[in-house]
Amino acid sequence: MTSSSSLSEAAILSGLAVVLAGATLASLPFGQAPVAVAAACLFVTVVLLAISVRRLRRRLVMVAAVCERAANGDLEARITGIRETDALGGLMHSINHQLDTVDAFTREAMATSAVVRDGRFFRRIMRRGLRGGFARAADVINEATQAMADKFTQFARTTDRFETELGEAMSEVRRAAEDLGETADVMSTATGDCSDKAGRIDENARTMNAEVAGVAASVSQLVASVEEIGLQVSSAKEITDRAVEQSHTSRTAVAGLERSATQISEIVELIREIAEQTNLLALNATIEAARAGEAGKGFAVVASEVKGLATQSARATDRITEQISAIVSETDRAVSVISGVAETIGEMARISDTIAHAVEQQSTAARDISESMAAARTGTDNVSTDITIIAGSVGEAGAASHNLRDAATRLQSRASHLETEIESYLADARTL
Amino acid sequence: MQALKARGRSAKARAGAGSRKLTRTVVPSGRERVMGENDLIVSKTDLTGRITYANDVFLRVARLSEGQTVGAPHSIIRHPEMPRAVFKLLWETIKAGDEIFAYVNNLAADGANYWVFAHVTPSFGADGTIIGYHSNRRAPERRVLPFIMETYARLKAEEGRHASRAAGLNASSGLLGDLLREKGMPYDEFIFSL
Ligand SMILES: Cc1cc2nc3c(=O)[nH]c(=O)nc-3n(C[C@H](O)[C@H](O)[C@H](O)COP(=O)(O)O)c2cc1C
Repeated sequence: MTSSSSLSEAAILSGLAVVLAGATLASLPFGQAPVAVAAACLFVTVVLLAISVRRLRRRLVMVAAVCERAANGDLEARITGIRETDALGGLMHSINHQLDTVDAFTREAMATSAVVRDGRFFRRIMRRGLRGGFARAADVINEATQAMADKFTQFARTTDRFETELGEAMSEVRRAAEDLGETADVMSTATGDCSDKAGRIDENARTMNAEVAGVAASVSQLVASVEEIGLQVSSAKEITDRAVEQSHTSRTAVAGLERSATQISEIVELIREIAEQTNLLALNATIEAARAGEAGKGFAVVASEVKGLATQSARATDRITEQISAIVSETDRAVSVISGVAETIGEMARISDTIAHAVEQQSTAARDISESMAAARTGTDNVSTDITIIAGSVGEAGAASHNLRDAATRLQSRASHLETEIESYLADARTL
Repeated sequence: MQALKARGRSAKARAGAGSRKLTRTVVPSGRERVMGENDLIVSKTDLTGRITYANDVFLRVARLSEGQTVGAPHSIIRHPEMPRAVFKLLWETIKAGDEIFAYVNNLAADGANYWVFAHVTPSFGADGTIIGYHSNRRAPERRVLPFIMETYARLKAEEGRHASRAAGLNASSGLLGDLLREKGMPYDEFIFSL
């Protein structure tokens, strides 16, 4: 009996055994011999059945072992050398088919995932040959791959944009930081200069302040002396005024004197005429005395004496005239001198006026100067205060510029740090 | 009958030797057998390419028995028109531990040919080493076949143009490389883009 399977073998044998058992029972009433034959046949059948069942068990154990390997993840496990063409053979092929499908699905899923793992997205699970749940799982994995591909493409695009834009931004930041650093340096130098200058200004302001104070003091002195001069000038004016008056008075007096001299001259003229008359009379008396001879002799003596007196008076008048002329010429000179003096005094008075006026102006000017000086002092005081404030601000600006320099340096290093970070980030991102 | 053929280890080894002879003697009939839309032809080989498992679809389509197949080299179904450059690339790829897809024209024992879209992958042992190879074959995209046929014909012609097999294989592989460079894609991406 050739059988394609221990299963069908066993089925046939067990059927046969049932038939033989029935035959054995049926042959009981026919005596010993038929029973013995039937029993012998039954025995042989049962023995064959036992052998067949053992073989079947071996095949089932083999199938179970393959299934067990597969269950443990050994997808290489297959049933080979399938001789059975019956249900058991069908079961074995089904198990292989199932394993082929699981193997195919696993290889596809693994390969697709491996490609994705390596950052490539072209690979999809081959849907052909997969059915039902496998096909659906394949679809989901393929969708996931597509989604990842889309995300990746988007990510790559974003990374590209990020790289260009951020790259630009970063280089701008770096440039700005450099500029800032330079500006801070310039500012620092400038504030240094400024500080020096402010110091010098402060110094100058102090000097100026002192000088202004000095000038103000001098101006006050000047004002005082101008006022003094003013006083003296007005008293000088009084004096000159008085001198002018006196010169007028003396002029009047001299004029009176002149008049008196003229009157004296007239009197002296009269005296001289009288002396001439007297002389003439004496001469006549002499002549007469002479004619009277001796009687006349004494008279002649008197006449001669009168004549002598007349002559003397004439001489005296001459001298007086002479002296009066001298007086007149002296008084003339005196008058002219007095006039000169008066004129000089007048001039002096005018000059005094001018001086007084000038002094007045000077005084006003000095007061103005004094006021200006006070204002200047306030000004220089303010300059001093302001400069102190400015110096403070400049100092602060200097400190600020140093801080700025530090900040710029920090910014620069942060920027370059960030740049390296971005570069390594992008390098990392590109390897995704 | 099948049970008889597969009986005993020595018989299996002889079947392998016999199948090599078979490969040489099968003459292509020019009839094409078309794979079913949802068919999955499966085979497994050892590290040398000797078949250790072939599923029933494989046997049915190739018109071979399990006894003829298991233990035979995979070239048992090699079609003479297939360029060697394709198999060279196949072996280089799988030996490196990678998967490969390839359009392959196979020859059944009855002389019919059948086009498959083969996916060949290494099988890894528990320690991660390659313990064998595995191939799933699916019905190819018919639309792509004219291009594949034309390309394979060019490669095959190139292989025939050289005095030595080695030189021919070299030139044909170079041609395949040129094609891929022209497309600007690595082989795996290119085959998927079709
Ligand atoms: C798992 C696996 C499956 C293969 N499947 C085929 C196939 O279906 N057809 C084929 O011609 N070669 C196949 N090969 C390649 C063969 O091993 C062989 O390299 C090819 O047939 C070329 O044979 P030749 O070197 O004798 O020319 C397969 C190889 C492996 C590892």
